[in-house]
Amino acid sequence: MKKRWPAALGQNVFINCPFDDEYLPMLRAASFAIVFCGFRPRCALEVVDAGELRMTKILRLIQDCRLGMHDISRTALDETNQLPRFNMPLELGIFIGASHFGSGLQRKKKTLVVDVERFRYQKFISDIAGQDIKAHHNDPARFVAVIRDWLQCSMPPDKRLPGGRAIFRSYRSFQSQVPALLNQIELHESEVSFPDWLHLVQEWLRDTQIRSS
Amino acid sequence: MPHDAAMPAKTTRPTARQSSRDYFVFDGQKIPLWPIRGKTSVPPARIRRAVRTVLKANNMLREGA
Repeated sequence: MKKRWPAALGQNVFINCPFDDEYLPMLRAASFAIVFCGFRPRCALEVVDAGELRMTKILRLIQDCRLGMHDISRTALDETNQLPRFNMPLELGIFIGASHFGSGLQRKKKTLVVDVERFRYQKFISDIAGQDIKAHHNDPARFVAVIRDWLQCSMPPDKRLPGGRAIFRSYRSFQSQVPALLNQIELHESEVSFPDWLHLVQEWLRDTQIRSS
Repeated sequence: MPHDAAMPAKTTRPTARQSSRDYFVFDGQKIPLWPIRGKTSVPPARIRRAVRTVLKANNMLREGA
């Protein structure tokens, strides 16, 4: 019998991306798209446990996720110390390693690598050639479409996800109501955690009258 | 809950693990929503109420919600 991921884990999407304010619009759009497609976004931001080693947390997350979306676009040097961030390439390497050396279901992991431009990676991480590498051009709408198309590929052929444009249209509608939502729960924009954001998205999707056109 | 992201149009009665709130509807398709990991800054029930309040104010609350 074919081995399959348990339903809840099979829908897990590991998000490997920068966690700074500059990237926040991309992360929020990406997580909205993942939820809209019926999957579950997972990332290191969901756990606040000072007692747990960060690497342990990341390894557990990677183990729990069938799918991994890795944004390697943050290659610029940090303004303060003039050094690059290596976390994203490191976690991408662990994810690929898990799918290569892991056993059973781990070998069925699927990876999406995204960058600003499609072939820019050849200049700084050329060994990942052969992976599924797409460009988002720092454009949330493009990013949503890339993620949607990738998730569609991991579904049975008879199942169709909503189109990227429809998802982004809904996202814009949701976004326009975020200030009012935050006002209701008395949270400042800067205080919204990743779990807060996902709850807002899910509740909104559940209860809104989504227009498909 | 099936492995596929898109649930079939016909669903059986909700079980203990699958309540009627575990999906949303888009274009007649039921799309599953999965439990969220991690602690929220405010109780999830408050978030739920806030969303309904804002949607109602904008005439966007789904029928039956």
